Amino acid sequence: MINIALPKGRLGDQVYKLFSEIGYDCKSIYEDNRKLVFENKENEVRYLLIKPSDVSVYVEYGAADIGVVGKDVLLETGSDVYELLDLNMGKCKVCVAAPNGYTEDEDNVLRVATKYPHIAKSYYDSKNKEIEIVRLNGSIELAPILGLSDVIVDIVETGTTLQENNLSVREEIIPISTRFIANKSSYKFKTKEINEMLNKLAEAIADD
Amino acid sequence: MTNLKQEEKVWWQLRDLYERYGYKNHRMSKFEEYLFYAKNIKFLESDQIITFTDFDGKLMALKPDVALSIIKNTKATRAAPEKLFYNEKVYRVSKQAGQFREISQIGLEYIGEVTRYATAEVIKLALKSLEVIQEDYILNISHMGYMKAFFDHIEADYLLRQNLLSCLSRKNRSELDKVLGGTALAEESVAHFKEFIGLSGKLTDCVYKVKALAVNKAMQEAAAELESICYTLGAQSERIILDFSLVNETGYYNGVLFHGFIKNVPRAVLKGGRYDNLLAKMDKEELQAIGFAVYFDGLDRYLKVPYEYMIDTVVLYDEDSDPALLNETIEHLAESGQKVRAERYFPVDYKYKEIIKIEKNTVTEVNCID
Repeated sequence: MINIALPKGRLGDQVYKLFSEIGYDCKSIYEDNRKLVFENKENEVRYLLIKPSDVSVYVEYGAADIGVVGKDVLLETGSDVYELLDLNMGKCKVCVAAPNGYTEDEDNVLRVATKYPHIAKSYYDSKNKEIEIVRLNGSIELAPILGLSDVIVDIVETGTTLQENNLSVREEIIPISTRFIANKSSYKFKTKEINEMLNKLAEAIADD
Repeated sequence: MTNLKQEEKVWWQLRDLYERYGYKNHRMSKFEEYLFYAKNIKFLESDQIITFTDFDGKLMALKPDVALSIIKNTKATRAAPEKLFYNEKVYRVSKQAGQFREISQIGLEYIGEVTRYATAEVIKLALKSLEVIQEDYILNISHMGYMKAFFDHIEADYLLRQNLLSCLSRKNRSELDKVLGGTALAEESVAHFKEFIGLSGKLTDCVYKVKALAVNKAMQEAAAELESICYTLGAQSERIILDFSLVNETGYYNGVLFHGFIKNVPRAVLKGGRYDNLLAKMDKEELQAIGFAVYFDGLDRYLKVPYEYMIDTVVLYDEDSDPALLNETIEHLAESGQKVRAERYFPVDYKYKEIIKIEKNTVTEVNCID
């Protein structure tokens, strides 16, 4: 049995579709209920539906053998896992954004609102720039509008949310996409099964 | 032995195992001067160390590592190697807990001239140690000398080496192109490196591939060393897998490197390898060393055997109970191997199998309250 951690939500649905197409379906996942664990004994898979930012933790601690997670989460948590494949899904960028027309006041320490404190810190560290981080969990775009921060560090997909809130991208930090990850110990005990899945996934992506 | 904790049982069995192969128990102090670690910081997993000031004003540290102290004090020579094992506590920052933790570590070191046989023997003892902990285990082996020789071959600079090692340790093929962006590395070298990322399987099956991928003398020598482990250990090498994703976390290791995994434990429980670099740093270039340690950090969680009852029999008494009879009853039960506990009132915070009461001069059985 292989435990697969899937991120709840739109990306998870997309990823599950891909997995079912290559032979790891689990029909019960379509049932309308609040269950978080779905199992198909025939093809030996168990899907766990997990908050996206927790997926890499489940995999690192071995509660799931493999998982699908955004590179942003991997960079933020620094989880020690194998990053076996880039699924080329959920493509976006981690960016610095600020209100339109914003100019930086060099006299003050730059205040950055973000749900990615680690990524933001390493980015500004690499530029040798002192910042103050305001950690938020959502609606980050609101922070500079209300004066809570000068800029934000967040993921940008199409830029619509930024536009609608009169913000624009100032700097691009890193491109992000979805990764197929594995626990380092599980990989060693289930090498054959995981590699088989990996090869099928790689083929399916190449076909697209 | 039945009442020993799993960790204690493992220690007794490992101690017996190491002594049978001629290794000597080694004890040491919990402290070391901080300056000693400051000088050798690149050999430590983290630079965060618990310090305190001694009576004479010296800054002292609680040991973050054992091997460093062993190497500093070793009296081994090439002709008279030191073979020892230890059971010590180290104090390190746990990434998971985000704070300092006391970690039990049982380790074994071989210092002197590390022959091919000595390497195989230490690896064999690592395999046997894993077997003591659990039947279902795997020893992942890799070779830092092999990878270093490959990097020398492609003339990679320090930064490129670090980036390549990072891709290798995460088996991250997709970011390899980004890492190589701007470096004029031949296409065949990139393809060559991708082979290392993909290589994972029984050492006996992979060793031929490792030999075939060797492009210079140092790589060939490293491959021969791996082959010699298979040859020396024969069927005992069945549980060794080769996977180059195991790379050096510190400046410690220079030759074979190995991590032991047991089923259902998400992290390596045993880590070891060849560490001549450390000896050279301590002006003992003539010596070589290989060793490993079993880490109990988090392992106790998986080793713990769930038990239902903390106490077999609770003996209740009151002010009228005959104390001599109470003592006699307790002694009788304890002598018969039971876990027994005298209580004035009904126990509420632990589980027990049976409960009896001493009423004046008689022993009566009490029906379980729930």
